[in-house]
Amino acid sequence: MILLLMILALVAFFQASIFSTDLLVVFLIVRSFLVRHNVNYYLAFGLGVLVSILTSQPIGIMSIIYILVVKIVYTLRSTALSSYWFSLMPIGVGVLSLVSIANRFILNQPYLWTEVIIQSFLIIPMYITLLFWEERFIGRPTSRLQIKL
Amino acid sequence: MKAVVADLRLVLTLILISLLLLGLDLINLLYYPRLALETVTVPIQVGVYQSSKLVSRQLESIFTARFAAQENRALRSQLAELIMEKSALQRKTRELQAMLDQQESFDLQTFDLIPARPIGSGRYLIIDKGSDYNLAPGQVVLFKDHYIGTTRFVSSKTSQVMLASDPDSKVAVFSQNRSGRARGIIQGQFGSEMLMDKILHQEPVEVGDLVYSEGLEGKLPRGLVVGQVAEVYLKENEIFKSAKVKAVLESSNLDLVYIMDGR
Repeated sequence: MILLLMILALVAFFQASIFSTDLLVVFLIVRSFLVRHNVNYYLAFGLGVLVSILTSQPIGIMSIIYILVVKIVYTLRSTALSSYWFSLMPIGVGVLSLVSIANRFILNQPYLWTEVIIQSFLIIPMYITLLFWEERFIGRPTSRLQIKL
Repeated sequence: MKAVVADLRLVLTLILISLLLLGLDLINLLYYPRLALETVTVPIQVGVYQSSKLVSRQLESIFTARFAAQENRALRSQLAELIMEKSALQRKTRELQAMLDQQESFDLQTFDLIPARPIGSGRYLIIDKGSDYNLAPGQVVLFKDHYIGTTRFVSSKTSQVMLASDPDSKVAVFSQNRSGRARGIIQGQFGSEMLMDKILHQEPVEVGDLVYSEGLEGKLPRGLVVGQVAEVYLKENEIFKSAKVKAVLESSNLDLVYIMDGR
């Protein structure tokens, strides 16, 4: 988890300094879709605070947006329609559009369709990467070895 | 149900904390904590930004080098074309100059001359005119007023020219100096040398004398320069003396030669 946090912090620095694409929101959407855990809320809160500091925005505003993103994905994930992995794509595009609209109204940022499209294209690679990461590198306390006699 | 309530409680708690932070930040109560955090984050951001600029500059230089290499290839190809064009123009200029010189040095009203371009040289000089231009074996080939040789084998498009220095070539010649003239027969040797033989002992011949054609062969006019005496061989016990003659012109360096129309 520490490595993941370090990577996320680095990504936050990159997106605040170099490119404008919000990779963290894509990460939160995909991780919330993959893993239902309270950690996602804490991650959303922490990353929101970090991004707010790095981009000189009022502290807390990005945290609220990110927490709501996680909550929306959880809600949509619990419906029967989103039981398949490819439902991530419409959910992702919808949530990203909502985030962009929220940015437009709350932070007075221009609504950029191109950013939404770029972020949407990143959903699937991010999903594959995170799936691999969660399966291979994250230990689950609930995993039990069953031996059938 | 419990899980949903716990989830909602956590969300609301985090949102409330966020709102609290937002409120505190808006009334500037988080100024010093923010300042403290920014003293850490800003240098990192500057480092990331400068590193990214450095990387993008490096990548840009790679792309620029690639474009430069492509441009260089294109320019090289253009240069090669220009060099070829220049070479063709130079050749044309030389040919025109040669034609002009020929016109000045040889009376074209007396002799009909057909210009031909040398396209190969070995034992025989190959020219780019043949029977299509009514050439026939035995025609005289010259440049300005210098004798080059005679046509030997003629095809439709090309002809072989037997040079004066060819061992099979024999021409009646005379050499001229202030003391008088010496007659003889010039025969080619291997290379660019010729031997002027059958010179009577009493006839004067010296090194540096020009050797001219006698004009006894019919088609070969009198007075064409065949070469220059390089060495005289005096043989006291023989009737004749001989002289080594060197060609004045190097046939392989000529851009244009002329064939005398023998009709």
